[in-house]
Amino acid sequence: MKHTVETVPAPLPPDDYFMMGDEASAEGAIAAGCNFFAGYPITPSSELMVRMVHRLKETNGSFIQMEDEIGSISALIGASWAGARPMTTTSGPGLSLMMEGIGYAAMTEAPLVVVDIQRAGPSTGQATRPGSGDIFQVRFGSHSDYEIIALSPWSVQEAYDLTIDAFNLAEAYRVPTFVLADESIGHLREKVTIGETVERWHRPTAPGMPPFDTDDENGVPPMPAFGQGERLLVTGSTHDARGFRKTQDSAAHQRLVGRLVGKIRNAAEKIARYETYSLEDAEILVVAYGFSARAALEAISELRRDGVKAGLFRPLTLWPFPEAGLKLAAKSVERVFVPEMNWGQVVREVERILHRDVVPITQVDGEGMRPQSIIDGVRGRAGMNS
Amino acid sequence: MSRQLYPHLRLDVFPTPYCTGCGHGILLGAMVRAMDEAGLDWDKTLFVSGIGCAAWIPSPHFNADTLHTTHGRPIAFATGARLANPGLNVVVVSGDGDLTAIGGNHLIHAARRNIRITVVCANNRVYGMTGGQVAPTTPEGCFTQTSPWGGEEPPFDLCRLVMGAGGAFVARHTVFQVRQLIKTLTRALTFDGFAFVEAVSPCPTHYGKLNDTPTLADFHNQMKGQYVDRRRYDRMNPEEQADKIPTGVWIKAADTITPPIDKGSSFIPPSSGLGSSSNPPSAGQGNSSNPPLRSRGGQRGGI
Amino acid sequence: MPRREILICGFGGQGVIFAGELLGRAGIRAGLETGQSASYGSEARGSACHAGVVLSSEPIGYPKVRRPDVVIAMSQAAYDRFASTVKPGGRVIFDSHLVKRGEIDDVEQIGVPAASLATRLGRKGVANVVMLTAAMEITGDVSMDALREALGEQSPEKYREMNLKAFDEGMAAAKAALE
Repeated sequence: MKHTVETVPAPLPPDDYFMMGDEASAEGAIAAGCNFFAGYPITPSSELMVRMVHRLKETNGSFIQMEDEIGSISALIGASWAGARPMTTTSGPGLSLMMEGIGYAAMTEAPLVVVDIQRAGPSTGQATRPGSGDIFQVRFGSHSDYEIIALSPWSVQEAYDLTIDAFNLAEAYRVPTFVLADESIGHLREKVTIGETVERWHRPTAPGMPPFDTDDENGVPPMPAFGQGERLLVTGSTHDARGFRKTQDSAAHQRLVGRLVGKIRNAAEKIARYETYSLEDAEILVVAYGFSARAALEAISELRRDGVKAGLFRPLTLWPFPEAGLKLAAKSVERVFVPEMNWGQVVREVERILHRDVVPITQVDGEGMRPQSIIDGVRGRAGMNS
Repeated sequence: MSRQLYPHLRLDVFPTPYCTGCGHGILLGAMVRAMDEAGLDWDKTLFVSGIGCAAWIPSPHFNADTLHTTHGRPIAFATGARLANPGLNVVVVSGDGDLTAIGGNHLIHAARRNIRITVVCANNRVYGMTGGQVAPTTPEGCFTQTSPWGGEEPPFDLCRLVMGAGGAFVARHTVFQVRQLIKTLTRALTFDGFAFVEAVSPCPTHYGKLNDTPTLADFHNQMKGQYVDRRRYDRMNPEEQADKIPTGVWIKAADTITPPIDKGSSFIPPSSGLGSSSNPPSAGQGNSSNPPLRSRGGQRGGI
Repeated sequence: MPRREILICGFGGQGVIFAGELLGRAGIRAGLETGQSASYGSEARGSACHAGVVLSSEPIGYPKVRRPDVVIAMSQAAYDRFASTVKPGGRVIFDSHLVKRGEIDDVEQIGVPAASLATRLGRKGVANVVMLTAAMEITGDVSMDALREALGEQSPEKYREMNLKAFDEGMAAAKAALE
C-alpha cells in the first residue's frame, strides 16, 4: 500500500545555520518527525545523541539512554510498533551489536532509522577517526535474507536532508533505513540551509487489514500500532498475513521472505539516487560516495586541469545501489576507479554491476580521503606521470 | 477457566503446545484471571515475550497485542513500547534463560530505572525449548544436557537479583500456589512502577526426567516442602533455611521508590497510533538573522 | 575571496577545536562559505589536536585543509609538526610564549605571546581567543566584526565577558607584533 504524505513547516526557522554533521542529522530527524530516540554513547556519534536529548525534550518526544546497543535497537522496534518514528545513532562496534535487532526489524517490517557515523575499524580501531568500513555490515550484517535502505551524505547539508529522506523511506517501505555517514562528515561543520517546509511520509494504514501481507504490487502491507484494538501478533518467526507463527510451512516462508526482499528490489530504481559530475566527455570514471566523493570532486577538477578527462559518479543510496545509473555513466569510459576509506567494499558492487575490472583506491590511514590519494591512484593506474 | 474469559484467548490456537506436566499452562491461566481481576483493558495491553517455551504463553494465545521478540530482549522492546505510548499496559512474560541469562542486563536496568512494566518470569530452571540445557537458575548439582555430571555453578536467586537492582515490586510463587500467584499477578499488573514476578514452573520433560521428578506430582511434592511463605521462612533459623526458598511479595518502602521514568511523557494519544504532531519550533530556538545555531550540550572546552 | 585554508593546532584542553568552530562561525557571519573540521584523540586533555578551517566566497568542494595558507601554532609539538606544511608565501603565527621558532623558507613567521597575555588577564584558558584574534587581525582572512560577533554567540554566558576581553587583547597583540 502507499504511504501518506504530509507537509509541515520546518521545526527550525528557515535560515542558514553553521552546524556539525552529527547535529544536522539530529535536526533532520526532528524535521522528519522523529519522536523517539534510544541510544548508547559511542564516538563519533555521541554529539548526535546529545542533541537529540535536548531536541526531543523541546518537541515532547521521548529519549532514553539504554544499557547497550542491543537494548537500543530493541527499544526502537518496540516504539516503532507503538506508533513512534524512532531513531538511534551509533558507530561500527555498536552497529555490530544492533544486527540482531536489524534482522528483526526487517522481518517484522518495523520502520526505524539508524544513523551510523562510521569510524576506523575493525574492532575498536580508531574511535575519533573516519572510515567507511560498514558498507557491507549494514547490508548483510544480520543473518539470512533481507533488504535495507542506506543513504550516504557527502556534506553537512546532506546529513540534514538525507536523514529526513531516511525517515520517509523507512515509513514508506516499512524497512530499517540507514544514514551511512562517517566521522569526516559527522564532525565537519558547514553551512546548512533549512527550507520552509518538510515533507513527511507516513506508513500506510488500513484498520482491520492484515499487517504482514498485501496484494498491492508494491508489497508493503499497512501497519497498525499497538493499543488500537487490532490485537496484533508481531513475531520474528516466519508468520502469515495476520502474524501467526508458521514455523513449519514452506509456502509461508517462501512468500514472506520473497516479499520482504522483493518490496525493496522491485522498487530499487525508484529508491536509488545518484549524481554525476563532468561525465560528458569522461574517459576516467571515479565512483565515490560520502566524504570520499568530496575529495573525488576536487581530484577530478585537478585531473582535468592537467588534461585527464575524469568524471564522477556519486551514489546517494548505497543500498539499493543505483545500478542503471552506474551502467549508463560507465558506458563509454576507459577505466573505472573507486576510492574508499576501506580496503575495497563498494568496489565489489561496482565490479558486479559493470562486469569489468574496476580499480580500488584505498586510503585506510584513519584520515579523511585526500584528493591527492585519488589523483595518485588514477595516475598510477592510468599510466600517466605521477 | 470461566467461559467469560474465553474472549481473551485465541481459542483456535488451543490446545497449547506445552508438554504434559508443564507448569506454563497453569501460569497462562493465572495470567488471564489476574488480568480480569485487575480490570485491565485487553485492547490497551501489550504482552511482550522473548524466545523459549514461556514466550509462547502470550503469543499467540492471548487475544491482545503481542510482541514476540528476539532472545533475551523483551524487556528492551517493552521499554521502547511503553515510552512511546504510556497509555499501554506493558507486560513481559518470558522464561528464566531469556530474562536472566541472555537478557539479564535488560532486566537489572529496567528494575533500576523503575519503568512501569510488569515482568513475569516463568522459571522452569532449564532451557526447555532447546532440549534441556543448564540455566543460570538450575540448582547446583542438578543434571541437564550440558551439566551431565551435575551442575557446578551456583544459581541466581532471581528475586534477590531484582531487589538488588532496585526492583520496587518483587514476588515469587510456584505455579502450585495458584491462588497466591493470581493475587500477586493482579497486584503486579496494577503496580505503579517496575514489577517482577517469578513463577516457578515444573519442566518434567527436560528437567524432571533427569532429576528424579519425572511427573507433575513429583514436582508438586518436592516444591511443596522447598518453597515456603516468606513469613515462615523469616522465622526459621539458618539451618532450616538452607534448603528452603521463600515465596511471597517484597515491596520497597514507598519513600524509597523513585518515580517511574515513563510518567508524563506521552506524545502519542493512546488511541491514535501515529505520533504525527508537527513539532512546532520552540521559543528562542535559533534566530532569524543568519544565525549560526548555538550548539547545545557537548560543548568542547568551555573557553 | 579565493579559497583560504587556516590550520589551528595545539593540544587537547587549549581550546583548539573551540577556536576552529569560532573561525568557521565567523566565516559564515562574514557571508563566506565555510568548512571546519577537526582531528583529536580519544583523550579529552593533552593529546595532539588540530582544527582546519576553509573559507571561500565560492562553494567549497573539499572541506578539509590540504595545504594551509596560515598555520596558528599553540604548542611546540604542533609547531614542529605543522609549521612546515604551510604554503610558500604563507604565514605561521605562533605563541611566542610557548614555541621556539625555527627557520622556514618563504614563510612569514609572527610570534604572539598569547599564553602570557591570557595569564595576565587572569585566565590562561583564553589564550586560544587571543591567538585567533591576533592571527585574523594580521591575516585579514575574516572580518574582525564577524569574529567578535561569532565569539559573543559561541561563548557560554559565564565566559562571554572574559572572552571578549581576550579578543581586545588579541587585537592589541597583533598591532604590537606587526610593529
